[in-house]
Amino acid sequence: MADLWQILTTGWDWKPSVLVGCAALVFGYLVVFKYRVRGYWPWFGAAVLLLLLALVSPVDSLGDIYLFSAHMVQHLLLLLAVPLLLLAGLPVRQVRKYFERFPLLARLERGISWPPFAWLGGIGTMWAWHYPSFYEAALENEQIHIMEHFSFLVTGVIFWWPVRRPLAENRLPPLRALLYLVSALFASLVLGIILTFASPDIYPAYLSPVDRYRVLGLLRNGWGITRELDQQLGGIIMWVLGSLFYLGVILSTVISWFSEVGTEEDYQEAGEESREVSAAS
Amino acid sequence: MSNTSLPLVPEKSEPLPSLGSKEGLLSWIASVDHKLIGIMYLVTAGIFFVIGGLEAMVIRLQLGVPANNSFITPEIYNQLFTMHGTTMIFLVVVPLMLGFGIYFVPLMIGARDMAFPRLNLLSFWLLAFGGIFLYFSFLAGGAPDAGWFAYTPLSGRPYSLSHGMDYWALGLLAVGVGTLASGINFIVTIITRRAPGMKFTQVPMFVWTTFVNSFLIVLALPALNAALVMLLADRLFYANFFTPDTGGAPILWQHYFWAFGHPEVYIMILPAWGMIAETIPVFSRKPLFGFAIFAASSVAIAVLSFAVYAHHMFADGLGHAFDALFGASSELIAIPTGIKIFNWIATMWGGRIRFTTSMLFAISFLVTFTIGGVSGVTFAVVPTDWQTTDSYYVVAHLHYVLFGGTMFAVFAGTYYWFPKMTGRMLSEKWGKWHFWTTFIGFNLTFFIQHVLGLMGMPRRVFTYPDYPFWGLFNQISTAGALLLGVSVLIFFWNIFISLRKGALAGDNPWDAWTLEWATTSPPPEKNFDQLPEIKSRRPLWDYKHPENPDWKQPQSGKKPKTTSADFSHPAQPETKTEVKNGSKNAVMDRRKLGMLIFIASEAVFFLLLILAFLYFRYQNPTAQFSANNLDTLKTLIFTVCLVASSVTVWLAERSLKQSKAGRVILWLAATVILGLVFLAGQSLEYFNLFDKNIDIRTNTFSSSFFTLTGFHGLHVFSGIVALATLAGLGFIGLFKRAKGLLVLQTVSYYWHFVDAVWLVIFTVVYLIK
Repeated sequence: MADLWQILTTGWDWKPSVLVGCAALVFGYLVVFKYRVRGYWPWFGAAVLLLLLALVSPVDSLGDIYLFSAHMVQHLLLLLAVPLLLLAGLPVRQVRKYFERFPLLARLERGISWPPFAWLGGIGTMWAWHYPSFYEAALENEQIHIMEHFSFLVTGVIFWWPVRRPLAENRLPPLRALLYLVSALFASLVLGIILTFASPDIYPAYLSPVDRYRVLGLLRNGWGITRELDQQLGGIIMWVLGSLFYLGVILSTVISWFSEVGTEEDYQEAGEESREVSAAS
Repeated sequence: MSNTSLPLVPEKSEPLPSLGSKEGLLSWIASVDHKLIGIMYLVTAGIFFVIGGLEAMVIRLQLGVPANNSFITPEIYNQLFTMHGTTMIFLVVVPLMLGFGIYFVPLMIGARDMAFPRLNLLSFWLLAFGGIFLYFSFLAGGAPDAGWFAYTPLSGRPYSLSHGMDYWALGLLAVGVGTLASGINFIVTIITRRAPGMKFTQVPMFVWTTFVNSFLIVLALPALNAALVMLLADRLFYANFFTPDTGGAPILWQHYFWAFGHPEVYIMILPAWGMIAETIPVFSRKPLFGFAIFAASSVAIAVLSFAVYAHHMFADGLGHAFDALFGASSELIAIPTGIKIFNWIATMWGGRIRFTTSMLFAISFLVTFTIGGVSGVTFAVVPTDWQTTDSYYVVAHLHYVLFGGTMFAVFAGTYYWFPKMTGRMLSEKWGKWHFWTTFIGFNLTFFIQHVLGLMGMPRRVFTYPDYPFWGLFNQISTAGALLLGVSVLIFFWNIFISLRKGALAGDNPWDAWTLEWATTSPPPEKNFDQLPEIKSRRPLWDYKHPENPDWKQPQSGKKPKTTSADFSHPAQPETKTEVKNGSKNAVMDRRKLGMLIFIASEAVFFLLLILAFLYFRYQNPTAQFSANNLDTLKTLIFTVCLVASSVTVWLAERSLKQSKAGRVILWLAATVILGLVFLAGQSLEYFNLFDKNIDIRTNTFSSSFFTLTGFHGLHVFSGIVALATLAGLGFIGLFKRAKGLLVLQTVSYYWHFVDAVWLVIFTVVYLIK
């Protein structure tokens, strides 16, 4: 227990880049939406807190130096959870106003929400950064690492955009949204499977980490997380926890789809359609 | 309140074609009518049910007394339990699910037929001949004997000497392809053939579960197919996939088999849940409780099934990471499954229940399936799993799920739908006999096996020592099995007698709500003359209760924007809609949609072969030296040819859009030639390797390389055949007709896919070192 405590207390790394970035995010959010964020700010706040957790907490320190599996937790947070919460935190009415006022912005929005683009953007980023040489480069070079995390956030937001964009009427229709999400689930699941069965030397940096926080002995011997186990664990986290995250969104899509109660116009339309058909024949 | 326009005195409409009449046989075997095909599915499954059941009887008789060495030999016993499992799963339960779906999905969505009627017939004959092929092995020197999941290396050539496992693999490939075709057919049918006005969210629950199930079929069966071709390569061509002494990995078989096998579990139960979700509401006279949650939990289970398959492999020592995460995530499945149980209970709550035979089976389904589900949860607890795996506890569990679950649902569905299929009611008197003998016989047979398993009795062993109580408990189980056999006889007698003397059913004997009851029993060949207006999930209810239709009720707490008081649209029960086959909902051409789904399935197949290739590269790098003999540069040139052929197909499509039919044929010919050049290049590469003494037998690298590229070459070849056929049809005027473009686009999808797969293979095999 004391060991765990040691990691939890010493593992924090308050990187200025992260703090400045988060502060800018909150400031920008409040200014852009003119503080009219009632009902939305908790989501946004949760996103920023999760972002902090992913980037300065022991999850980051462990993932950077010791554990591939901790790094996978971080990647899932950055790619899936934080962007989804960010989107949920956007005040719909304000966003709509901006799109009306700036047609260029609206066009950009339509452009990035083209599903194949958004899908490939999100999934492609996820896959590309796990390619061993890119992954190693990010571990070695802090600038590249920041770029990696930033690209996760950006493509993550773009990925969720077609199915969770603020203007709900423009979202993908349910069946297509399901196709979009299920295929994404499979794509991340396959990555997870590959990582699970990859050999432990695929990411050599973890083989002999520089023991900056003096926890290597604890991790490897005390907790028994060998490099092999760590590799498996990271892969399975991607495989199972990643799938579960997508599954949650899939479920919410199905439930809201099937719970939809048609409006009066819907019924009238349906009635007219069937009358038309019967009249035509 | 019943409606006067529906005939109260039932009149039997067109009878089913009789086998004795002139052309009666032909009208069965060659018909593309989904109703006849559906019945043929059910009858075939019934025949195999009897065969598989007799095998189980022999097994139970053998186990009736301890230390029994005189009844059947261990070899025969191995063949019997292998064939019993294989038969019941692939030739009984899955065909039953498909058969009911093929019969009722088009009826329930108000369609004329399935989207691909001829493909439907092909599916059936693949099943029939696959099954016959499997059983032919008994005559060909020995049936399969390595268990229904055929673990390697036991199922490999050194340990399974007869040709039984070859028959097993080839037979399952045939059956599997047929099932896959049905899955594609269901998806396209449900998307494009719904009656005008029927929204996706308004399809009956059986249709929805079949829809979800079809995606499981399309995405899971390729895993089995990939595993089977690798097993066949090992057995017939001496490849090294699963042979440990040459670097192969038996565990890979388990991964692939369960990546298929776990979704298969849900392929066998999802439509059954749908059946229960049809019968319980009708016999409780209440709509299904929590339709949205029910639909979503079906999706949840289907998706989860792909992510958690490794829980079948806890006994393999995969490591703590596997055990912990897969154990935990497998327990999650209990949530959506439990939700369904409560959906059904809440549906019955406060309903006016009619205890028909169908309903009795449905209610007992809730009990027995829950028992099977709870014992299933115990397997997700890894230490418990280690204790109970490969014991009779597992046998008890899987029979509670498959017999107590699926088969009980099938019986419920049979008593419910038999009147629709034949025009006559099944006898309730015999039905009650059937139910009680089944219920008692089933529980007598299998409940005690939980105890036997916990006492340590291993499964798949032909006899057991005379430990205290083992003999007694096994005798109880055998007695139950005999009673179960009697119950099946009663069931068939009931069908026989009811077909001759059963009460006439009329259109809607149960006062049900879904569209299949809006037509005569049995339905005419075109299914419907007229359809009621579809504005809710219960169109016949709305039709019969114009004063109180479903679509006026605000559902599930959410209110419509306007209240029903100012609802201006008058109820018009007399408005019936003429049936048009999928006029309004045709979102996409059925051919193109079917091809896209087929491509998704093929993509999974290739993905698994590629993963196998990567797996051996990681696990067995010593075999990699063979890779140095690959000729990257030459292959790159032929790759360019293949990519160019994608362009020429696109040019053909463009020429057709500009209606230059002559040029289309030219571009198609160019595509065929480019494809042939690519194949020639592949042959060059093969001969280059053969010259260096590298073939499929050499090592794990060469096995996976030749299997992967060989199957890709096969796909290129079938693409070339399709393109050449198209060009040939072009000469007789295909491209002057309206559907020409759609056909060309459909084939070009396939061709682009084959090219894209090659780019991935080229990258993985040649570029990444």
